[in-house]
Amino acid sequence: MERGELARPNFKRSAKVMLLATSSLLVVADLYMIFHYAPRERVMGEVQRIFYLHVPLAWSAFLAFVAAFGFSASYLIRRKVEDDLRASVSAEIGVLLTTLTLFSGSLWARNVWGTFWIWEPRLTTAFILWLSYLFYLLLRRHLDDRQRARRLSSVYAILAFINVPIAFFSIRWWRTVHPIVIQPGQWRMELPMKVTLVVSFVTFTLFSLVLWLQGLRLKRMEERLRILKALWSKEV
Amino acid sequence: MVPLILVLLGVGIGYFLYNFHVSKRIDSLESQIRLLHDALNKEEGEETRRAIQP
Repeated sequence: MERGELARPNFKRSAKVMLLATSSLLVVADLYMIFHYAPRERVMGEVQRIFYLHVPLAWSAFLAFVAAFGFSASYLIRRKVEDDLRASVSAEIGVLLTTLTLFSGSLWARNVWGTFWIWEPRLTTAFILWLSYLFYLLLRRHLDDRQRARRLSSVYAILAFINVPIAFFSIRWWRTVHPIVIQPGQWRMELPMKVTLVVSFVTFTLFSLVLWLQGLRLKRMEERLRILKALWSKEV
Repeated sequence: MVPLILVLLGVGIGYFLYNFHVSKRIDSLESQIRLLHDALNKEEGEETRRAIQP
């Protein structure tokens, strides 16, 4: 990797500020819509509003894992360090979002199903997904040889991705107690609920992108420091 | 309402902790990079000085 490549900013600072401002405004608007605009659901009551956080969190986590898969495959083809750094940040964000998805889902389940956890297809596959990407992060941390770590973790990320469509479609493929609210072509909810959900999707996607960019900045700096240390040890 | 507030708090804390950890690490790395960069430049400067001296 060129020394200048890591120092060159990929995203203009003003665009970053705009993105942060937009996502912050959206968070405020989204909170207002969740608490005031969306109507109270007749059967579940207030606890149903968790849905406006839980579903977009899960969606953003899936997006992050798709990105981890894409960048890992790209690394194996092009061998560009930047792709590996992007894949690693995507997996990190994916693990964070999956943790929050499992947390929000279990609080919803406690109130609706009467228990925090059931070993049913969606929850089980989501838990395996979370564990598999957690292992990816541990694998990267514990391999000293950087080239080997990059290669192995890219292959691993591609294999771990197999579980993403399984987790996503599990509620359609198997009999499960997990609700299927969004079906292609038919959304079984009132218009204000749909609008709130769409705003939540955009908010969480943008906010996760902000975190992703921040995480990528850190990864680039770690890589730069590693190169500088290598140069320093050669000189000394 | 309590579960919803708990979820909101959990999500907020999750995002905040990740951002806090990353920002703190960036600050620490920035100073390390600056130090190493300066040290390397100094070395290069001395080497150049030695090379051009008669």
